[in-house]
Amino acid sequence: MEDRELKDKLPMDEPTSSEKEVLTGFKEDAMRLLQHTHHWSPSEAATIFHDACLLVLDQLTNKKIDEINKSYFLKVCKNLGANTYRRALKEKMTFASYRDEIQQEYQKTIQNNYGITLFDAAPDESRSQKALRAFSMLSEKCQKIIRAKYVDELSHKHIAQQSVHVNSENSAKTVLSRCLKYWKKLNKQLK
Amino acid sequence: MEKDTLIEKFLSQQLSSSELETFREKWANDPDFVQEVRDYTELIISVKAAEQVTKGKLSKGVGIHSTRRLYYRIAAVILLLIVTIPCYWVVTSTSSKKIARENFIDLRLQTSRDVASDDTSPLNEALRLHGQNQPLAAIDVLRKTVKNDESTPIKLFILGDLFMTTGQGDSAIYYYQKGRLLIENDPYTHWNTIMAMLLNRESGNAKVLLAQLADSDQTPYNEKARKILNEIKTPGFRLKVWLGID
Repeated sequence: MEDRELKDKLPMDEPTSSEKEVLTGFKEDAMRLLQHTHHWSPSEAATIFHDACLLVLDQLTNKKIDEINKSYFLKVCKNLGANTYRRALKEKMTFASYRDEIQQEYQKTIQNNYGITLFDAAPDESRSQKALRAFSMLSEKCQKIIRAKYVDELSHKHIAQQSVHVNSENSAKTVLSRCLKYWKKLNKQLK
Repeated sequence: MEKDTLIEKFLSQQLSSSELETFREKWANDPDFVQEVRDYTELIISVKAAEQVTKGKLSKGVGIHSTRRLYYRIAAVILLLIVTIPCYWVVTSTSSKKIARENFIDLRLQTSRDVASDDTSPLNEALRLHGQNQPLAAIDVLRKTVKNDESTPIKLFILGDLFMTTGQGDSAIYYYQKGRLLIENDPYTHWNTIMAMLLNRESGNAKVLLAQLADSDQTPYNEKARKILNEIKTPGFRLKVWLGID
C-alpha cells in the first residue's frame, strides 16, 4: 500500500494531517517488525499497519492517549500482529472449514428456534476476515467478555463471577454492549 | 425495546415470544437491522471458528511440543552430564606431576645441611649449593664430575634427585637408571624412578612398576604404591593424562 493511498484510506475526521504524517513515518519500522518478528507477508503486514493506524488515531480522538509516539505505536502493531485471531486468519483453509461448519450449524439452530433464515448467500470470507480484524483491535477485556458470552455461552451473572474486569451482572451487560458497539464501529471503519 | 438489546438477546438466543415478534417485524422491514444482525452473527461465527483453529493448533502443538520438549530436556541433561562429570573428575583428581612431587623422596638431598663447609669435594659442593637453593648450579657441578667418573652410584643418584627437584623427569630417569646399573636394589632410587616416570607423564610404565611394588613385601613402599595405584586408576587421572593437564 502506497503512503499516499494509506493516508487517503485512513477514515479520520478529527485527527490532523500532521498526526497522519507521524504515523506514516513509523511505517518502515512497523513493517519490519511485523514481517521479520511476526512473519507476516508484506500485504498482511500492510493491513495490520493500517489497522494499527486506525486504532491509534481512534484512541487519540477519544482521548485515550495524549500523543502518538513510536514505541507505543510499534507496541500496538506488535499486539495486533501477535493476536491469536489474526494468527487464525493465516490458517485460511482450516479457518474456512471451521467457519462453514459453524455457520451451517448456527443457521440450522436459528431456523429451528426462530424460523429465520440468517444467511441467503454462501459464507463470505472477506466479511469474516474483516470481523476478526476488528475483533483483534478490541481491548483484551472486550475480547474476553464477547468470547465469554457468545463462544463459551456464559450468562452475564457467570461472566461477572469469572471476570476480573466486571463485578456485577449489570456491569457485564453494559461492558458487553459497549464492546459490541465499539466492534461495530471498527468493523464499519475497515470497509 | 432498544435495537441493540434485541440483537444481543437474539445472539444469545434468549428472545421471548413477544421479542421474537418485534425481531421478525424488523427483520422483514429494516435492511439496516438485518445487516447489523448478520454482522454480529458473522463476528460470533468467526470468533468461534478462530477459537477452533487455535484449539486445534494447540492440541496438536502441545503434543508435539511436549514430546519435543522432553527430548530436548533429555538431550540437555545428557549433554550437561557429559560436560560436568568429566569436569568434576578432572577437578577432584590429582595430576601425575602432583603425585610425583608429593611422593618423591629427597632424603639424600637433605644431607646438604650436614655437609661441612670446608669439604670441597664436588658432591658436597653440589649438596651445599642445593642447600643454598641453587639446584641448577648444583646440577652443573655434579654433571661435570659425573662426566669424568660414572662409577660412583651416589653421585648419579643425587644428580637424578637434583633433576627431580627441577622438574626434569627424563634426565632424572637417565641418571637413576645409570646408577641402578651399579647398584640394582636401592629402594629409594627405585621409588624415585617411578616418581620420575610420573613426572614425565609415563603413567603406563609407572603403573607396571607400582603394581610390582604393591605386590612386593617392601614396606612402606608397597603400601604407598597401592595408594598411588588407586589414584592412577581414577577416570579423572586418566582424563588428565589424556588431555595433558597437569
